[in-house]
Amino acid sequence: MNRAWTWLIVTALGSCVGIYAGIIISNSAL
Amino acid sequence: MPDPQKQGAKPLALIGVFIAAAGFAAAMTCVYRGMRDLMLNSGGFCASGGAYQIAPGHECTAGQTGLLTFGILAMLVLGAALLGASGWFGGSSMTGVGLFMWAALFGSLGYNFLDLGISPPPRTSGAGAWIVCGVLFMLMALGGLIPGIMAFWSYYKQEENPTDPKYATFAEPLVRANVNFKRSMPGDPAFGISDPIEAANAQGPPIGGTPQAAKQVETTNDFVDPVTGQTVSRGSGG
Repeated sequence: MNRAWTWLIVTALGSCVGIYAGIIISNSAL
Repeated sequence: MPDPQKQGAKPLALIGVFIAAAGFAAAMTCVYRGMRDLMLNSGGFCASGGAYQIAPGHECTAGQTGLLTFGILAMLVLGAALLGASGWFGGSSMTGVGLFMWAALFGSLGYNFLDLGISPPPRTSGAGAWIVCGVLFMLMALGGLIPGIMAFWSYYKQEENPTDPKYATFAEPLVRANVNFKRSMPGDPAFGISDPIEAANAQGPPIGGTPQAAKQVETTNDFVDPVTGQTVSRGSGG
């Protein structure tokens, strides 16, 4: 697979996990 | 250009990209939600009270200020980490990821401004300015998104055709000068000769014998004709 796709998929997956974590953190802070 | 086969998959760099992307997204979500909560419940700005501060209705909670302050700091650090990890994985052409982060930040905050500017929370004044901010933020986000997509597309094409000379990185000269220099100064012993070795032979030995002697001529303030090589004494006067 093209490394550009690899990077994009890994970044998108990481971002999804991060957004989920951010919602949990902000829910506990607010 | 580095050989793509030699670069390998770089699993450590990929893990770094994943962690940094997750951290950046988490920090950005915290900033987004902290800002939104502040706009909804505190009128968009914080004031802790006092004789000259408009405090009522604008007291911010520790959660709001904490999310915004530490969210922005974390976003800067983790954004730099994502930039570094992406560069490690894909080389310098991957640094276009910074443009995506820029677009994500201004796009998400611009959405807050636009959404709450169009339908402001009750007892909020000046929400019209939020629309102006929202439009500005969205334009700034587009300014990062469009070149970011172009940079990613360029990287994608480069990965598809790594041998394409269009993506050469100038490790070796692409153009070499091929000038046929012909001695053309009248009076030059090597007049009309283009080969530098032949020209040197035609000029004969340097005037004055050894190179050391030639250096001495320079230091005696005499003039050496650059064409014929003859030493012209300038005399002691003047």
